[in-house]
Amino acid sequence: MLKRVLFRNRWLPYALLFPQLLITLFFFIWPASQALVQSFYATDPFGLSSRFVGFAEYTRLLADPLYHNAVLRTLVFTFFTTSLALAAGLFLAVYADRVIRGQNTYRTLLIWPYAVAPAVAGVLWLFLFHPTYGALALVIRQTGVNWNPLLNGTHAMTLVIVASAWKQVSYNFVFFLAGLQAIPRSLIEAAAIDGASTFRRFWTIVFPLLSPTLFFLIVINVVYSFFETFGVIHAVTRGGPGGATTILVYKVYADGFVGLDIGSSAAQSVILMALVIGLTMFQFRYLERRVQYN
Amino acid sequence: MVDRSRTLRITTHVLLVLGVLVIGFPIYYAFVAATLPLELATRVPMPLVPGDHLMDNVEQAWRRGDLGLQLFNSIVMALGITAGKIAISIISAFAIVYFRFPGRMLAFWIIFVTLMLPVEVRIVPTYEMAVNVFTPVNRLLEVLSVPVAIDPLGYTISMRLQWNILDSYFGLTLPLIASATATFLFRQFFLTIPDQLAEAAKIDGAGPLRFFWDVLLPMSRTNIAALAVILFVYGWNQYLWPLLITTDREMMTAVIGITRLMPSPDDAPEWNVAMAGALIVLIPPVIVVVLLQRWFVKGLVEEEK
Amino acid sequence: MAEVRLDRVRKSFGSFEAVKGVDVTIGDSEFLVVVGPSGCGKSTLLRLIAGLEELSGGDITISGRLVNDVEPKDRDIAMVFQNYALYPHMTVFDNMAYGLKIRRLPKAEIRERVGRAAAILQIESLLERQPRQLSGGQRQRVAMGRAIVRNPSVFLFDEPLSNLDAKLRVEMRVEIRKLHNTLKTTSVYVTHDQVEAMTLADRIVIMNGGIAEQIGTPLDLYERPSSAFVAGFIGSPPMNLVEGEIGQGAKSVVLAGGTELSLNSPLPQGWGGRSVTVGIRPERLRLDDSKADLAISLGVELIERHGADTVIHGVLPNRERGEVIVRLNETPTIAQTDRLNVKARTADIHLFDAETGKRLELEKAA
Ligand SMILES: Nc1ncnc2c1ncn2[C@@H]1O[C@H](COP(=O)(O)OP(=O)(O)O)[C@@H](O)[C@H]1O
Ligand SMILES: [Mg+2]
Repeated sequence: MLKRVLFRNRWLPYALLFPQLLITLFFFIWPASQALVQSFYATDPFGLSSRFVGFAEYTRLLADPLYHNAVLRTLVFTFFTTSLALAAGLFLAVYADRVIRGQNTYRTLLIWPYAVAPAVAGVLWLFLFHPTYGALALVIRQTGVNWNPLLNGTHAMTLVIVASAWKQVSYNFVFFLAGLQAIPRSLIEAAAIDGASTFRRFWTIVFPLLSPTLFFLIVINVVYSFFETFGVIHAVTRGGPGGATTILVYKVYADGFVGLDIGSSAAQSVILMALVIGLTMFQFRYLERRVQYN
Repeated sequence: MVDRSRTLRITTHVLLVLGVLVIGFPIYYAFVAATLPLELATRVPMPLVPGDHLMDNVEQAWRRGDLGLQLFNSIVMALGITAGKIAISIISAFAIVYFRFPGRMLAFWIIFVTLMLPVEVRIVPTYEMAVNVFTPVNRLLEVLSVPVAIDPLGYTISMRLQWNILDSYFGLTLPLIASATATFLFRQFFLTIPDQLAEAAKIDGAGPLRFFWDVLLPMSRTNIAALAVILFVYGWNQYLWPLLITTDREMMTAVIGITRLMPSPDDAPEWNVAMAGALIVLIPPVIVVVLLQRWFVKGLVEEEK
Repeated sequence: MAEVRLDRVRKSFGSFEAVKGVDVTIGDSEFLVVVGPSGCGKSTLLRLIAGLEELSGGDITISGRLVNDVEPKDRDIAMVFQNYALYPHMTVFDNMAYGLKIRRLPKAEIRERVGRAAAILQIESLLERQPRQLSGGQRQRVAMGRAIVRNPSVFLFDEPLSNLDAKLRVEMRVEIRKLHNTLKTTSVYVTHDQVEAMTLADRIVIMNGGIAEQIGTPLDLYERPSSAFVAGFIGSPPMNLVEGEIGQGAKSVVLAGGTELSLNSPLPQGWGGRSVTVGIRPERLRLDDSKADLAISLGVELIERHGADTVIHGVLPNRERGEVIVRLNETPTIAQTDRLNVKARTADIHLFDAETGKRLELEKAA
């Protein structure tokens, strides 16, 4: 879609674009290309010398069991965080959509965790799950599990998943609710007149109409789990215990800034970038198609 | 029939109230802890009724965490990112929508790729940029090997520009200011504005800047408000970037600072103070979101499009 | 003295030519209406005059000044848009005053001018409202007000009434014309509605595919359409156009289906056998049972009784596609199934070349 009306000015558009382009070039394009360059060099920890090693960093990385471990952890973490956050968001939205009076109140009461920083969410949940003082830990221990997220990797993973998902529920809730409200009442009423049960109505009419929203949210939640949850991990587990919660983005940080292995960190960055680019393209292709269907 | 719908209504409310309670429990629990003295906060199980030590704990957290300074830093960062992003995005969207010029599509794509490069995937080189913002310029000068001055003995003196933004407000905000999302949002919005409005303005005698200022900007008010809420929360909640570039306690932001209040296994388990601190830090963005809820929801949902 | 001259004005969008060389001079105080079907280039022509599009060729002169490269704001024109294009965040007053503010008129004068325009348009009570608080008709008035306050030498209207409902459209049409009679500002008015064109215009330009098919007064166009296209566009219901042939000897016209109409005055001899399109206005057909020379026998398909007049849709004998509409001022008692004989005067018959659609002049021929 193009505007027909245009202003004519030789330099003004460049001046208007200048700030954004400058910042983009300096803080996005240049660093990203540097990551690409650095991934082909091995640099010593003090940054004094570097030499070209081609794809060595990548082959080393792909053969590294620690990296495999991080990939696996990321997949597990992402899968559970995304599913939990989506399921809870959808559940709440479906019920909130049915409410006639008080909908705004519920929305207000459910929306605020969006504003909580992931790191702070991590701190709140660490306290709840704290092996000694946590209320939830106490409940879990009563079931006979020797709950200790500070020492047990699975428990730690559970903790960061719950904290990360909790924060994201609001976001999903808002979108699902908007999606549900966009479905014409007449459609649902028609199905009700046809005699479909509530449950059936949901799965055969509401859910398919909601699928674009769902798809969009899946991408958003995956990106969230991949990157923004860094704060949760760093604040709560520092990737531990024993690497049990070291997801990819945490490993980029740990290898680059703690281990000072710039080459490896850069190679990891490049892989992550490829992943985000893939996801974005995928989403765009899908959105395009959706536009055509409509 | 009436009976059935009534049961349904009650079930709905019961389930929603349960949901609200589950979602709210971590905060309530933190709040209770923040009101208790240390003995009660560390008792197992901890009481679920608030005590009267809230002010004590808040004061402790405030002092120990140096929250006054850190909250100030957070506010500067969040507002800086919000204002900066909105300002540069709205003018670049204006340029892309209302002008045709050589390089327009290139500019569009350069901005577009930032969508795919979150700060997390480029931390090391971005950090290097923060150490010296002029790194690319220097590299360019090197490549072009521009001798700035040649002294009589034949040595080449090359020029190196240096601007370190570590531990500074520039460092906290600048690298996070470019945003494809905001630019796209404004672009979408501008495209929905009828052409005739700009034509009417042209005939009325308005030039591009005048049209932008008098017509486009006031018409974008709701979009700006919606975006501002989202960006404020985004800026306030930044973690990785401030973690990397602030080493000076004076420049630390509240979200980072608060994690340092968490008791380590060797300290006294002062979770009551930690929770008081956590509450202080999470309240400002929560208030913004709840109070400006209408705009915030609008802003979020428009992002999808 | 605002005279607008278009001299071989052309406009292309890429390889598509939207306006293909239009010549017309709009006299001082004249109300010129540009009419034509959708997509024929009317708006483009208007936007060229306004300076919103760049000319691909030709010249535009306003009050003797060549304005080809002059910005819209410096052309001393004002424009009223179909969707009104009011600034949604400004009050009615500010909408009308905006152009004056930009031109740095003193506050008092702005207030005075807006007040005067508002009085003329009877929108004084709306000045503090925002556009979204106005009805369609009120918005239309504000859009007109915005044009009037500037006191320009030319008004440009692009389908200003198309977004109004039928009743309001007729009211506003009358008001626009009255306004013009008062202000006497040179006006160019674009519409696709031929009734609007006929009622408003001093002169009409009828466009088709980027070309000005005919320029003339409403009655010119009605009485002497220069082509079958113009004939079919002007008038309501439009002129009946039936394929036919000039009879051998050039003394009659044979309609498709065989009806022969003999003419009072013979046509040039060479025309015999020529394929033509025969045009007769519905209101010029009369009921006639005398089997006169010019009688046409129709099968009645549909009768619309409007009260003041009656419109009969009929078909020629043996012909599916030869529909003929008859409009009568009386309300005859005819049944749907009847056959009907109608006649026309020779002077009311228009002939157009079947291939080019151009008018064949009977008078000149005679
Ligand atoms: N900016 C443009 N780019 C390309 N084609 C255009 C543009 N403006 C108008 N056209 C085309 O020119 C033709 C005439 O348009 P217009 O003058 O708006 O017609 P109308 O007589 O309905 O007002 C149409 O076919 C239209 O598609
Ligand atoms: Mg038009």
